[in-house]
Amino acid sequence: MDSFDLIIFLITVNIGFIFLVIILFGYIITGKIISNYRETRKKKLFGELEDAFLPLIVANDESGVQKTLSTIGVKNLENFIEFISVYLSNIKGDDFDRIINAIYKSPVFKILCDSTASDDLDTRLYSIYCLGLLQKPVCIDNLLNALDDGNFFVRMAAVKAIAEIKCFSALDRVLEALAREKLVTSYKLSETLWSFGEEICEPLLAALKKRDGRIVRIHEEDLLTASMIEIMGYFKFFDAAEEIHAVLKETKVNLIVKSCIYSLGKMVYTDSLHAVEMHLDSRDPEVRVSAVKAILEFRCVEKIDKLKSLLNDSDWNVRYNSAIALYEMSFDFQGYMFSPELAGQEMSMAYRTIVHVLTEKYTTETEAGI
Amino acid sequence: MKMDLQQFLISVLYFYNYLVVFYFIAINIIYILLNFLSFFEIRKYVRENRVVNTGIVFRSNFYIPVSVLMPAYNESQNIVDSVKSMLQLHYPEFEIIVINDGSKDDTAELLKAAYKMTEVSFEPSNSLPCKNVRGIYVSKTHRNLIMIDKQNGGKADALNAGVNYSKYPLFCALDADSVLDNESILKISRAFIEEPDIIAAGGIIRVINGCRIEAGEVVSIDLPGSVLAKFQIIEYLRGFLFGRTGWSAINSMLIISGAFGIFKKKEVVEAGGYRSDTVGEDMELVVRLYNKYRPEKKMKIKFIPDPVCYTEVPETLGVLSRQRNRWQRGLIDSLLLNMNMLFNPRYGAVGLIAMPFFVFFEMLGPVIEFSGYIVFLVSLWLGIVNYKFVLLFTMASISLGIILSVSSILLEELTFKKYSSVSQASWLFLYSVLENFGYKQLNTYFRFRGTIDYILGNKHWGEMTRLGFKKDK
Repeated sequence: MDSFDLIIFLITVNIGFIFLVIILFGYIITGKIISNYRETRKKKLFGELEDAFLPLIVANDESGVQKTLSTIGVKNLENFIEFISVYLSNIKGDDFDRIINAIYKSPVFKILCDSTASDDLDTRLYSIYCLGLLQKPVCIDNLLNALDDGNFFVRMAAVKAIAEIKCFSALDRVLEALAREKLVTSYKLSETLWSFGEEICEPLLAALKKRDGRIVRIHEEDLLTASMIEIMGYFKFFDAAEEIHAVLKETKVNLIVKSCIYSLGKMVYTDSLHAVEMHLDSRDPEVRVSAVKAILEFRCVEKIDKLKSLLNDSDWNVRYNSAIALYEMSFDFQGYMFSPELAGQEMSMAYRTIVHVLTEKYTTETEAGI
Repeated sequence: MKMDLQQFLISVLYFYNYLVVFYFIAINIIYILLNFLSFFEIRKYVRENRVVNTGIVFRSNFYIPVSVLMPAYNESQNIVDSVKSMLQLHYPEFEIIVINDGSKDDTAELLKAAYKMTEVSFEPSNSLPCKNVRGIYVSKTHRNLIMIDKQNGGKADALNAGVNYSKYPLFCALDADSVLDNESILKISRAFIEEPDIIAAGGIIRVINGCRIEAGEVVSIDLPGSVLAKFQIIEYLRGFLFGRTGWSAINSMLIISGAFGIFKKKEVVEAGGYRSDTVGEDMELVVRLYNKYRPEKKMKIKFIPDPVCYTEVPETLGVLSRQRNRWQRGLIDSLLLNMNMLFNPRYGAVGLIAMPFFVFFEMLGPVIEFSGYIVFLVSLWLGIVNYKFVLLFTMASISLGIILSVSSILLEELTFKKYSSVSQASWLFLYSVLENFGYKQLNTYFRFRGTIDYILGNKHWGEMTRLGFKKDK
């Protein structure tokens, strides 16, 4: 390339760049104008919809609302769904049920179901999300079909919607879908399982009992077992205590050990005390902390001496939680601090941890006016 | 002999000119690639968040408690408002630890009075090195507010003290003049729950100058009056939306801003905490975390584009020059302390892509660019290069710079749309064009000076003047 060619090339590049800048400017400003216009239109539509919903709440005028929904709702599905999601999250009780029923009986519901197979990604996403909010099991087939959607976000939205609807018969499909996505982190699992609500505990217990069963097998890491156990603990599902106790005795995986101890503590299943207390000496500080917390849940005063010894643990969290447990169990800290055991040991970890917890508790209680 | 020397000098000038052209082409190819990566990454993030309900974290117990660390040195102007803003965070379980780093003003006294703080005796949970702690105070009005009063030792030292007295597994390092969006911690901590391999994450920093703040909360976003601050809005958008997002997409993000970053305490403590002998403690820690953990285990350091932290940017050239000078020195220090990672395949993309980029383009860039301007002018004067070529090349480089700046505004407009009016978008566009005519060159000069200062051994932080939030009310 001689210098003349180079100059021509650079001139062409410059002209191209300048055009690109102009196009970008046009795109940004036009986009801004359009998005502001849409925003204004959305606000107007929100106002209209709110006006339509208010009489329903005040006068229980279901037919009027259905009529309004038929005319307004279908005109702008995306905005309608956004309105519904915002509106529904602010309404509770009978009003919520009335609105749900009005939407269910209006043609909008069928449009929402059909939209789960729309060509437009946003429409699919929004309609699935909205069906989750409406919680009507009749749309479950649409949602199950959406589990096979080509788009990941649609599949995830479908998983969540099925959980919101609490369709337990689809639980296996949901878990399989999650496993297939290779997105089975503890949070995603717990979030999904938790969305099913307290009623999930029974099927979870059944799945846990057949530990060689399908649900457990699809997940190779133990994350699923741990999540299932934690969910049952969270909802204090006492029926599962015995089974979880059995799992605790047989497992060697710290992740599952922690979830078992957490759940048994929440359920206050004192029969598991022996299995739990063995883990106070675990090599994993997180397991030791969970065991200390469970001992506190059990209010097991017989373990006070062990908790006292943990005040000298090498891990701060273990020391701190042991001191908290002792405090909550009304342990006589003052007597202990002046006892021969701690005399002259003001710089020991145990002494300092006690002072820490006492000052922390003192400040909190002063604040609360206790 | 004289002729040979002349020939040699001309050859050197030729070589340097080619080097500058090569540098320009290479850096811009990388920027364009980062731009594309960021575009897809942010689009994915925005889509995913439509179907994720952060509220579930509040209703369930699937959250990780966070300790928020706020080092404060002579922050009397903002500290009470900043803490107030932090106390309004939407998060189920968190503590705020303000570290008064030997302030000479009444930062500590103001806090004690505003939040009724009383001295307590706390046992540190870790023992990272830090200067003498004079006292620990807990608020009687807010049980999750703690103040550590310590001898002055710099920001890194203060953060180490904060880590020592924090009780939760995650800690969030902030600047005392930062204002967090209420849901920032909620959004950023979600990443740690979803991906257990993440050991640190950073959010986006936006410019607070010009915004309206009420009760410690940003209630409306507007453009600042200062020209310099407007340029920095473009710079921050570019740096975060397409710089860090792009690096994060290939798991090679070497910087988490000191103004807003969240870390797993265990990993940071194991790595030895913050180094107090560098002015770039934020970047140095991140690079060191890669250095320590990348060869051994699966780990990620991520940028999350949505959680926002607002920070005040300099509005005078003097403060800006000191800030950029410090950033450059910090960058050089962080890279030189971890040079074993350069071109080292054990560190994956960090060793093979990010480190070479940061060393050759970010660390040496200001020197090459600044000397490039001089060499170009000398070559022009000597008639070694065609003036038409110089002119057109300069135009092309400026136009490409404009395209990259404008594309960051485009990214903002396609996603978060924080600047809502058409006039704001137009102003931003105008400033993204104008910044290429002087502001960028000025920045190169500040960074060049930073490099010289580093070589001369200057380790001063440089005084930063705060205007305070109140003026924006």
